[in-house]
This record gives sequence, structure tokens and C-alpha cells, in this order.
Amino acid sequence: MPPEQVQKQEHDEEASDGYEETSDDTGIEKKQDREREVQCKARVSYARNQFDNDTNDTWEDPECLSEDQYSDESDGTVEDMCPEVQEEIEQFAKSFRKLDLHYKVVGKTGEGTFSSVYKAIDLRYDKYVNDWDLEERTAEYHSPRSKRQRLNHPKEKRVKYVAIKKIYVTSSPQRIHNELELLKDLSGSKNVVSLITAFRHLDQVIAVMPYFRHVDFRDYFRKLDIPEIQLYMRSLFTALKFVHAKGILHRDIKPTNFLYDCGKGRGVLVDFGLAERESDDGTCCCTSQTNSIRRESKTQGSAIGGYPKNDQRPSKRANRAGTRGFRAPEVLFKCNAQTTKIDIWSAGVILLTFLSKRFPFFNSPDDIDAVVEMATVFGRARMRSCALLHGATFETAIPTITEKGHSLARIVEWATARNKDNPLTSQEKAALQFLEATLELDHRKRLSAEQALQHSFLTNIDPDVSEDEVETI
Amino acid sequence: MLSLPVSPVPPPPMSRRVPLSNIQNHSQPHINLSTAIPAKRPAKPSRDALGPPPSKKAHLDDAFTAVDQKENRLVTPSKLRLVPKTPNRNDTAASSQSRRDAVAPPSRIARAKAPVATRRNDKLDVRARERRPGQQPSQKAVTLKERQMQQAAVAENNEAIRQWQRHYFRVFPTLTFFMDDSIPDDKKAGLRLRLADLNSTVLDKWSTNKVTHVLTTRDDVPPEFPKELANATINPKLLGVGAKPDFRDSGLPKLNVYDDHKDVLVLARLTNKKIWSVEKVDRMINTLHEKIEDDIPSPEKRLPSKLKRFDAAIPPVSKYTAEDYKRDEAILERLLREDKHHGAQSSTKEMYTFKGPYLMVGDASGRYKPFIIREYQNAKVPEDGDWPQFRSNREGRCPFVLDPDTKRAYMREEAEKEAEAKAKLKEKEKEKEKEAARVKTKTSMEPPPRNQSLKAKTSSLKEELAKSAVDRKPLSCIENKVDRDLATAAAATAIKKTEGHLDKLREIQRARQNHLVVTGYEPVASGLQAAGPTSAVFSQAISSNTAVAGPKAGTSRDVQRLNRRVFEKTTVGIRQTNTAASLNVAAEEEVMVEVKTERKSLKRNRSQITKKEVKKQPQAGYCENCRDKYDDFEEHIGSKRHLRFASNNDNFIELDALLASLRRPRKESSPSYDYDEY
Repeated sequence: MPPEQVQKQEHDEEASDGYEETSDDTGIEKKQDREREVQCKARVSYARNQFDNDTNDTWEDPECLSEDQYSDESDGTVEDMCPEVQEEIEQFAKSFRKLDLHYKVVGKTGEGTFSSVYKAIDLRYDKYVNDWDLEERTAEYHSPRSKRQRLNHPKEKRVKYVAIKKIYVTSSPQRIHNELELLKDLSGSKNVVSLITAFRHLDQVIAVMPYFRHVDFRDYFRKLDIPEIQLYMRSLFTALKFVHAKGILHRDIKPTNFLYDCGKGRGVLVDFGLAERESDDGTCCCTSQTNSIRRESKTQGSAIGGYPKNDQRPSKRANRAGTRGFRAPEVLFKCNAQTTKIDIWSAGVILLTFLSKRFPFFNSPDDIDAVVEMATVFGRARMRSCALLHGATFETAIPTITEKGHSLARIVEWATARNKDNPLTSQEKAALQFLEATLELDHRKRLSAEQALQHSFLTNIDPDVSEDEVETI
Repeated sequence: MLSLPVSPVPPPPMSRRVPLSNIQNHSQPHINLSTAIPAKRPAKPSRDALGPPPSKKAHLDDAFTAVDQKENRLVTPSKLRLVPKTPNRNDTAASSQSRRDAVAPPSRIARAKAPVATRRNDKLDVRARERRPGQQPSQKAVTLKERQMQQAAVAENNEAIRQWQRHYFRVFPTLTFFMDDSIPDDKKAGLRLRLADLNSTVLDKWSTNKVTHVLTTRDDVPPEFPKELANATINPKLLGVGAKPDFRDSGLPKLNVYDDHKDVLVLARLTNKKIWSVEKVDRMINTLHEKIEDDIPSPEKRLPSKLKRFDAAIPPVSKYTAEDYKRDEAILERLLREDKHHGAQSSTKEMYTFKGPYLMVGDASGRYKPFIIREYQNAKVPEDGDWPQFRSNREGRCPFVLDPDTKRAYMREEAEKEAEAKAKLKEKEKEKEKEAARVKTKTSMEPPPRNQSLKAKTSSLKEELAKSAVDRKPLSCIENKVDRDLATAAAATAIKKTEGHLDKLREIQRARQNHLVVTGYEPVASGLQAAGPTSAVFSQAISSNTAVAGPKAGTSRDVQRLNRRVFEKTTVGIRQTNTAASLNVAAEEEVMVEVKTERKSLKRNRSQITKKEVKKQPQAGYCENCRDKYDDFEEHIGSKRHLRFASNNDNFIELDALLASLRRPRKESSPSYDYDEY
């Protein structure tokens, strides 16, 4: 099929894998190297979304606090590809012996530090048992394909697309193993991406996953009405519940990793490159209440206003893998006993994005500014107690950070320029109530995915009411 | 005895020390010198310009005496006796020194400067004072024998200091401090940290039950007991006796309300809290952290004999000539240098005190260093601050990122305010503008209501200028930095043409704000965060470009890539230009020239990059498998080393096992071709 046709058929985009990550067990030098790498990559990467590429997996290292990678929007379609990319695809197709007999690479959809993702046609789909193809199994001939596609191929069998993830050869086998193993464990949910197969030639590992049609987040995040948001969130929390039930933290929940098809109201969680299993190994005083209380009494309220110039003490380290703007407070406060609740926070940030109609909501060029932004919203008092929960002191003299912060409702009002004539709707208020429960600084009080699914916001979805109340954008 | 570091008596105020002080040279030069010393060291205006400073030993003795007398329950007498009284002929001088010490505690420098440690004899104190100057036999160069003696004394002395340190490392964690209002805030902060470092507790609120020590910088410390006051004696023994009552079993009524006694020092006295001067605490902490080395000070480190002679016979103030001062200053300078060099350890205790808005997140357990430290620039109004804060900008945009459009409007408003005050000449012109602005407001770009107020005030002329830039979108999109700067430059030039003085102000604003955008996310003064310009800049670029109304950017990857590259490359240039612009406001011409050259250079940059982009760019990175960084990805993965890893199946055993389980299952009906299974 010529590229043009493909382009016509698929106006939407492909699963992105545009993340970068950094090893969590490497030395400082290595991390610096990676930072360099990241910066270099940023220049040439084509990840789909501007905001989806800055995943980090670094243990604390001041030198690379803000190694986030940014790259620009580009459609994952063949038409857009510059010759360079086309050449790359050709090279890739040739790089694997007889790969082209199985898959026809038609486009590149994402590039990160550790992998590139290509869109390909699954040429030999029919030869295999395709348990992964839930769509096929459940919806048989109730094809949700676009009209245009059906017109172009009225008689042909549906073309099956897959996403081929080429993991760079510079990634360690352990890292690759981790991701593939988690993916394997995570099969069986229609909201979580599954793994079709994976193979290796020398150091090159390729993972084949289903391709999901979806719409770019920025195309719809301001247009969804509350019931649609409810559907989105329910889909997302369903995925999270599934992942969390397996004891896995995704660590990188963000719109670009949740491929949502607005038409179908279904989303798929992808990219488990940063995911890890929940472990009890780490210790943090947030796990034992007495500890934190004792600390609290000792450290409260004594602002120091300075720091030792040549502090010889070691740096506190904690896994901070994730994406800027979506990191939970406990990640920023270097908690060493992070739980699945960090994903809930990130999901909350997505909801906040919907409600405030701001994307990204948190800019967070680095973790420090991230804390400032968070504190701007939540206020000093709450940040202080959250920090203390994780054995950290919080001290600031930034005038725009108030003691009590703002309510999320106030923030949403402000962000969407509300006034008396244009108050929050009852639906929005219900959404805000749910938002408060997901963007709870104290992860112990934050909803779990399971609880969230039982929350009235996700159980009572009433699309009919929305018509009247939804505001025009 | 005047100097009782641990005594409940505050360091005797200057008033008591009048006679001595008079003898000392309170020469201005020395005040200057001491102020040159980092704040951490207590300034000692009255310090040993002339007299040899008290030795470490003397200082130690003070402490010991105190321990001995006040807290002998904590230190056994035997330990104290470790330092034998070795009277030498410096005795009297030393004792007087130590008393001076009480007035002005010795710094490291002072101590380093001191001749070999001498032993103070408490009992000689008063007499020694009476005998004061001129009674010392003049000293000649130190003989070998003397040196040996001194060496022995130093060793003993050092041991004593170590004892003292051990003791106080144990004592400090039991102490609870309260700082009175006389201490400047920055000093308080520093002390707080240093005390916390010693595991002492520092309370912000007075608590009669908890506080054990009150810190002050005041001179008018209330006397401890009326009896002492009447006696006006300085006999340490007496003081010791007087101080004996333990605050813990004090029979005095408990005072819980600070307000009852406006003076916290009085209150402290009433409740038998110890009152320490800040200097004393500083000195104690410094001594605690001091590394004691057994080697005798090298000859160079010692004072020149000339100075000693000078010390021995302290000349009257009048005879302290400029020449003397010069010489002393040179010595002090040298010692300062040495101190700096030698005192690397002690400098770890040096504090950086925030001067602007800051955020600090540290580890409450104290095991780790603070992991978030950032200081932002001071801003007259919060909106000017470079830290993340809510900004008024268009719907869809990140609320923490300054929208260039909104910002421009804001800047204009600011500039107008300034101009209004400064240049009333332009009033007429302004009237016109405002009128036009009212018309213009309606046509301004869909801002949320909040922004309207800002925009409404903008003048038509400037709106036009901004528009010329904004219209093409790049201005609002930092990513297209070239265009943006060209636009800014164009705007600047146009402004110059049309308006005069008024716009210089605006230009400053603009330059300043621009600068802010570029540097906004670079770490300020924290010294810890080395965020690369790439990430900082990118974040700005992205967020300012995100979610703007309208279709997604339809530009091809190449174009976008170009923009990115250009942006990166020009970051420095932009900053320089802006700085230049702000510096050159007075010289209008210069600014314009600057702007033009900037434009040229940007153009050049762009064309260069266009050519460059055609070639495939080597990607640098890090290979987890080779544990090595590379400059060129392609080159690296073809390298022998990497291929060796790649071709060694042993490296992939675990992964292969997993992959084996991930084989794509064939349909049974499907014949097995000779294809490899993928």
C-alpha cells in the first residue's frame, strides 16, 4: 500500500513511545552522560507530543534534575516524514532479516531515548492466533473504522496495524526484560496494551504491540464535556486498577501514554518502560506513623533560611521516574516507599487539565519548580505536612505561595475565567470533588484506583444532562 | 574571671571592662579588619590589635574553668587536671589576654596568631590586671629550649581541647536555646543551623520549661543576682557559686507568659536560664569543630618576634602609628589567608543565607543534605518574580508560564506607569493613545476577561507593534525564537522611531522581561542545580507553544527541528543582546545597532543550520551495555566493544528465556513456512 493511502486511512496517530528514561541504578557519571544523551536526543527526536517526552528515571542527582526531554509534535504519518525518517524506516525494515515478510513499516510514530516506535501493517496476521486482538474478538464485524477507510477498501479485509517498538541497542537487557515481562503480565485488559510478540537479533530487541487508533490529547482536552471526561477517567482508572492489582506501578501516567479514542470512549494505557513492581524494600517515614509525628514535633516551624555551603552529607535518593508536571508529591519529596498512588496523582493531574482547560497544567521545568507550582496551588501548610510525612522539611519564602493555598475549585474557576454570570456547573462541582480525592497530597488518603471507580463521579455517568450544561468552547 | 563560656553569666558587658578596654587600642583600622572577616566570625573591634591574642589554650581554659565550676557534675576534676599548671613567664600576659578574650572572643585567626599556648592562672586574674601593661619582660627570639617546652605545652593543650570538644559534643544535644530579638535574623538563621547540627534544640517561642539557654547580642544583660551586682566583683568563684542554683529545681515561680516580662533576658534571669552571648556560642561551636593537630605551629606561622616585642610592651594608643597598623594588617591578612586555606573543614559549617525568595526542602532526619534548594531573584512586585506562579494568560495555556502576549501588555502598562511619572511632557500624546486603545481593545485577541483589564490599558501604537510581531504567531511561540527576536527587534526599532524617551523605559522593560524568559528557569544562586540550558529553554518553548487554540502545528518536522536548533544556538546571543540593550538605553543609537547585528547573526545562524540539518547528525549518548558514553550512536553500535557485547549470548540469557515465552502462536492450520517466526 502506498504511503499516501495509509495516510488517508489513518488520520489519527499511533501509540507513542516517546519517552526517555534513565537507569535507576547507575552512578552519577552515568546519569550525566545520560543527561547529555537526553539533550542530544531532544534535538532530533520526533516524539508525537511535545509534552510526552520527558520521562525520567533518575535517582536524585542535582546535576540532572531537569534533564527532561522535549520534542515537538509531529504526526506519525508517512506523509509528514522527512527523507531522513523515511530512510530510517527503510533501514529499519531491512535491519531484521525477513522482517518485511511479516510487517510492512508504514510510519514512525515516536522516538525516545531508548526506543523508536513504528507503525506497521501486520502482513501475516491470519497465520497466527491473535488473542491480543480484543477488538476482533469482542466486536467481530462491528467495525469502528472510519468511513473513509471503508470506502477505500470496500472489499478488502481490514488491514491490521501493529506498533513496532525498536528498543535501542544501548539499553541493557535487564531494562528490556523488565518492560517486556511487565507487558506480558499485563495482558488481558482492554485498557492496557498487550504484547503480541518480541524478538531479538544480537543486541536489537523488537516488541510488537497492537496499534491503537486515538486522537491527540490536545485536540480534544478542551472540548470534552463532563460526561465525556467521566468516560475518559473511568477508562483510565479501569486500566490503573488492572495494573495496580498486579502490583505494578506505571510511573508515567500522562495523556500521551493513554491512547484515547474519543469516538469509542475507550482508552489504552501504553508504555511500561518506566513501570516497576511495587516493593516493600524502600523505607520512608510515611510508612510508620509514629515516626513522622515525632519528627513533626521536632522540626516544626523552625525556618532556617539558609543552608551549609559545603554540605558533606550524602544526597537523598529516590526513584523519580516519571514525567514533569505529573510527578506526585511523594516523588518530589523523595519518598522511598512509593506506591501505586503515584499513578493516581498523575491521573488527577490529567483530570485537572480537563477541568481547567490548561495543558500542561503544571509546567515544572524541573523538580524544584514543580514543588513551587504545587505549593502555589496547595499552599505552604499542606505542603509542609506532606513533606513531613515523607521525612522532609519544607521551607519557602516565595511571596506567591500562600499559607493555605487555593481550593481546586477556585483554581478551575480562575483558569477558565469564571465569574458570577458563568459559575461552575453542578457537574463540574461533582468532578471537582473527585479531583480533590485524587489530587490529595497525602497518598494514604488519596483514592486507590478501585475506590475511584466506585466514586460517584465514575459511576454516575449521565450523558443526557450534559447537553444543556456543557459550555461552548 | 571574665570569660566563662559555659557559665550562666553572660559575657561581661563592655562596661565592666572599661579599664582594660581603655588600655587596648580601639583603633578604627581594626574594626575594619575584623569586619572584613566573614560574618561567621564574631567581629572583635577591641581585639588584639596590639596585644597578642589569647591562645587557644586560654580560651580552652575559660571553658574548663566554667565546666569545672558550673558543671563539674559533668566533667571530672581529673580531666581538668590534665592540663598542668605550667607557669611561664607569659602567665600574666596570658591571663590578661584571656580576659580581653572575654570581651572579644578569639577567632581562629586570633588564636592562630597567638604565640604558643599559655596557661592562665585564674587567681592571678585581678592582680594581673592591676599590673597590666609594661610589666612583661620584653621577649627576645624564642630559644630552642623554649620551643621544646612550648611544644610539650601544645600537645597537652591539644589533648585538653579534644577533651573539651568531646565533652561539649555530649552536652550540646541536651541544650535548648532561645534567641532573643537582638540577634539579626540572618545571624539567627545561621546559629539555628549550627546548633541544630550539634543536635541542640532551638525554640522559636519562649518556653520556661524547655529553654535552658538564652542567646543574645545585647550588652545590657541583667546581672545574675542582686548580690553579685552589689559586689560588682568578677571573681569567677563567686560567680560560680552564684550561678549554682539549678534552673531545673528552681524554687522560683514558673513564668509561662513571656509578655509578663517584656525583657526576655530579665525573664531568663528570673527563671535561671543561662544567658550566652552569640559571640560565645560562635566561639564554642568553632572550637568544637576545630581540628586539633599536634604539630607545633611552624615557625612561619608564628608571629614575628617583632610583633611579640610589640605585644609585650603595649604602647599607648597614641603611639600606634599608621605604620604599625600597616604591619598588623599585613599579618592579619596573611593569617586570614592561612585560615582560609587551613580551615577547609570549618568552612563546611559556613552558611549561605537566602537573600531572595527561596524554596528549600531538606531531610528532616538531618542525614542528607537538603535536596531542593533554589533561590529566586528578588522582585519588587511578585509578578516580576522569576519563580513559577499563576500567570494570566490565554485559555489552554499552562497557567504557570508567562504568556508573551499577556506579558507584553503587562510590560507596556508598567512602562507607562513609569513614564507617566517621569515624562509628563508626553501627556498629550498619551491622551491620544488611550483613546485609540479604547477602540483597539475590542479587536484584541480573545483573552479571558481577566486579561482584558490589562489589555484595555494598552495603547494602540504599541498594540500595533506587538501585533506586527504576534500576527505571525512566532512571538507567542518562543520556539520560533528567531522570528520572535526579529519581531522584538523590529518592534524595538519601530518604537525608537516613533517615540523617544518614553520608549527607552519600555525598552528596558522589554529587555528585562525577555531576559527573564530566557533565564527564568536557570537555577539562581542555589549552586546545586545545574539545569542545562537545553531543558530549561525547551520547557519554555514547549509550554508556551502548547495547546494554543487552533489546529496543531502543521509544520513539517524539518521546520520544527530547524526552529529548535536555532533556538538552542541563539540562546546565548539573545541574552547578550538583551543585556546590551538594557545597558545601552541611554545611547539609543547603540541599541539599534545592536538589534540590527543581532538580526543579522540570527539570519546567519539560520542558514547555517539549514545546511547542517541535511546531514544526519551523530547522536551522543550512553550505552548501558558498554557502560560507556559515545559521541555518535551509529559509530558506537558498530564498535568492536559493543559488538562483542551484542554477540555474546550470555548477556541475554534471561531475556532470551522471556522472549521464548513471547513467541507468536501460530494457528494450527497455518503451515509453517520457512520464515523465521516474528
